[in-house]
Amino acid sequence: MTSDTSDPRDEIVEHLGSLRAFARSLTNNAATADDLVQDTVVKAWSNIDKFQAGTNMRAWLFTILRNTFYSLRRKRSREVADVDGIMAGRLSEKPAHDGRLVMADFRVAFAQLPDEQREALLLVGASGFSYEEAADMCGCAVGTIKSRANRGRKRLAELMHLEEGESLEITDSATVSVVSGKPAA
Amino acid sequence: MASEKQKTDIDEQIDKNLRRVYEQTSTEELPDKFLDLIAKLKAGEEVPQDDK
Repeated sequence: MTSDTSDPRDEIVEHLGSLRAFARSLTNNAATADDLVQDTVVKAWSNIDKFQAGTNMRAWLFTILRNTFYSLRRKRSREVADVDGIMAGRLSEKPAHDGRLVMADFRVAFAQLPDEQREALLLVGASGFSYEEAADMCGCAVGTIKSRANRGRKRLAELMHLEEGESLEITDSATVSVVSGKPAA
Repeated sequence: MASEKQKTDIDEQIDKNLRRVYEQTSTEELPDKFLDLIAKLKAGEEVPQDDK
């Protein structure tokens, strides 16, 4: 029992938003995601002695969340995921020049990626972890994370593009605008 | 031709969208249950796991 003035547990609350975003992208379901965050917080709280002071708290929490997610999923192995209508969503048929539409399409496309690609992209593309940190968190090689992220980006580009019935080669500004959410020049 | 540059542009746009999705969720207002949970943990109350 130490009476340290700075309890690392006080920092957990600052990462709740990030944890929810990560959980949401893993589960594709807001309610399941929040349950996962709660479990993560409880685990982190009771295992705080395993947190190494001075290391990245967010990475530590993400790792717990990730491990909890995969072990829960193994338990419920073949249970069909209840997905918030994201998977059931459809990409719009025409290239949209409306930023909001593009964003909705992007979420739908993202939800269709394999888990490991979604996870890699979320960690390095969205939340700003380095490839090394992400590899550490996922327990795999840096090259594996890189290739997952690259495949994920490629697949996203395809998903955002294929609905136009054009080739996969992205050559015109209208196509770029579909991905970027900006109107074509 | 020039596909490397375009590929990089696309990747950048994708990452921009990824960050936007992530930020949208991570800056949502936290439901009270999370703050309640933290308060309970602080108070040293037993918080059962997987009790759903």
